[in-house]
Amino acid sequence: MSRVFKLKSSDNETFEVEEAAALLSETIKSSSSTEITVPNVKAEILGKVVEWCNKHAESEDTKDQLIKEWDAEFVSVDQHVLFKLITAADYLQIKELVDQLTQRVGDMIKAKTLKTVEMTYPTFNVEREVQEELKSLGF
Amino acid sequence: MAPSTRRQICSNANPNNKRVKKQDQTKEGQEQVDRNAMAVDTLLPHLPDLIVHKIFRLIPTKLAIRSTIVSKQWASVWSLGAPLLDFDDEGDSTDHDGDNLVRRKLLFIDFVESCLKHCEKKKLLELDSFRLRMRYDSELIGATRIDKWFSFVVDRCVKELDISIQRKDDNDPAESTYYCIPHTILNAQFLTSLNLEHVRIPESTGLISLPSLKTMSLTAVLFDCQMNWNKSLWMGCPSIEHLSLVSCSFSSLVWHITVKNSSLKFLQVMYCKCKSFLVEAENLESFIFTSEFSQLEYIGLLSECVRLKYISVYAQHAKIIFEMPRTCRDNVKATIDIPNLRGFRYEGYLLPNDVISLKARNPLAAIIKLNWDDEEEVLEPTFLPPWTHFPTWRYFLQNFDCCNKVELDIRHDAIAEAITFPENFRQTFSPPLPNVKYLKVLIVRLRCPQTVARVSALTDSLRWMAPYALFTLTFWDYGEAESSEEDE
Repeated sequence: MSRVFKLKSSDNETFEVEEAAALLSETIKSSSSTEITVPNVKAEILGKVVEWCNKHAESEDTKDQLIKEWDAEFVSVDQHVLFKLITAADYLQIKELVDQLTQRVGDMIKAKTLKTVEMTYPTFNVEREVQEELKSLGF
Repeated sequence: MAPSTRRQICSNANPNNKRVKKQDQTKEGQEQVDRNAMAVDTLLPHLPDLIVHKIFRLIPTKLAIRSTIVSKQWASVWSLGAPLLDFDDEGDSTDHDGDNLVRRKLLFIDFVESCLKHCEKKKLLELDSFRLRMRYDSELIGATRIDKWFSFVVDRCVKELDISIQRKDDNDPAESTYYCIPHTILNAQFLTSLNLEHVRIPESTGLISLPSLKTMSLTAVLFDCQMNWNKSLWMGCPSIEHLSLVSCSFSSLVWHITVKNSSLKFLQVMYCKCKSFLVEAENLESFIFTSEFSQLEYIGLLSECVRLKYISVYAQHAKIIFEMPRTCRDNVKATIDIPNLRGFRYEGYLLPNDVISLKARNPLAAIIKLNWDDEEEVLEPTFLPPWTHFPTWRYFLQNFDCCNKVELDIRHDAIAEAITFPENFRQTFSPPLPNVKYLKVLIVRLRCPQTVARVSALTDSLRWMAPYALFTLTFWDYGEAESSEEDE
């Protein structure tokens, strides 16, 4: 009989998670109660994290091709969502999810698809100093 | 160590690639600036510092530095301790346009220096890894300029250094075309891993002190130093565990290499040009040696190497004498492939699981000394009947069938008993040394006068071992020859 954990988001939505999935989180593992509130994480994000945990709990072999494809899909989200997922996964200390998400950020930076200031605000008047620095470094 | 994805750095700050966009020069009000300043932070929202640090490990230096310009949080994580600085000039051998080549090289140097300046400005405190790969042209850039980069990096407690500074022309015999590593590198207190390629290690003017170094890997390095220096290198690395020397060359004064270090566990020496190689390492577990140098004369693993478990030696051309550790107590697996081996000295305790595989051609003289541990009053279980070690002992002897001469030194008569093949064994198996021409056996330290029967059994066994050999058997007791039997 496996235990059921309850995860509560910052906007008061509760997710029920089976033990196997829940224990992927170190935070939950070391918690004394089965009801955990995750601060600063909204339901939309928490829901996705739970989805990831459920997927990874049911499949034993993480090197499986199907799981890899699923993971690749999972991290292909909007930049905004990506960063929020990282914060949530970090709080819950789900190492593998954190690794996958940060790898995605790294990949986006390398592929220059990560939106930073200059790219979405082409007319943004960057402070003079920053602009000079960029220029001097040949960026 | 950094993952290999990092290699693809677009490091050249080529003017054609400059990304400075033509910004709208409209004047913005202070409000607008404020709002935009906030916009900066919402695009790269606050992430836990550890996560940012993780991300830095995944991206090339150029992009990491760019990120520190656009985000204050990322800049602060960076300044506390950047994980990695990685500079690679991506080789230039295929670019034949001389002018362009020079320009690219100068741009690379400028890029490295601006990055370092940027780090200094952001008050970078600590650096984990520094990796530099470039071609060295002493006409374009003075060595002292590069030395400064290393000083900068060592000052920031760098832990891993991976340096490859190749000469403009690899085939140039002049030693002055090498980049000499500065002494600061040999005194980096926090360094745990050092990888040097194509550089020159000059004669040291000061103490070498690398107290945290665990791994050292030297490839195509020129050692330019006196005999004593090479000892002080090993003494300066008290924690080193893993040492690899590949294709290293030594200035002519240092052709006899001794590696003496008590913490070393793994030693690999490949294609190094030295005349003799000695190892004195109490904790060494694994020794791999490959050489094609025809002037190699001697390889010796000295008696201090008691923990050796694995030995692999391959020396193609040289006429060598090879000596194996004397007091190895663990089971040793040794593969020795030296076609022109002149002499082989083995000294050990013959344990049942010693696997020694010897490949050599004639003429070869092997000396096998079998020791007895005086502290052990009780015979090892395998030396008591029923004897189970004979097949192993026979297999061990077979290795020496390629020899001309075999000398067996038995240091205790208890061993003499143990090596006497019993009659039924002799009738079932073929002799292990049919090709040996001279067999000399020396047995030391009789407990009591051997009975005629025992001596006779021993002689039979020995004669069976090498049926076509000229055979000599001598008994010694504390250095005195007691009796000697010679037979054809």
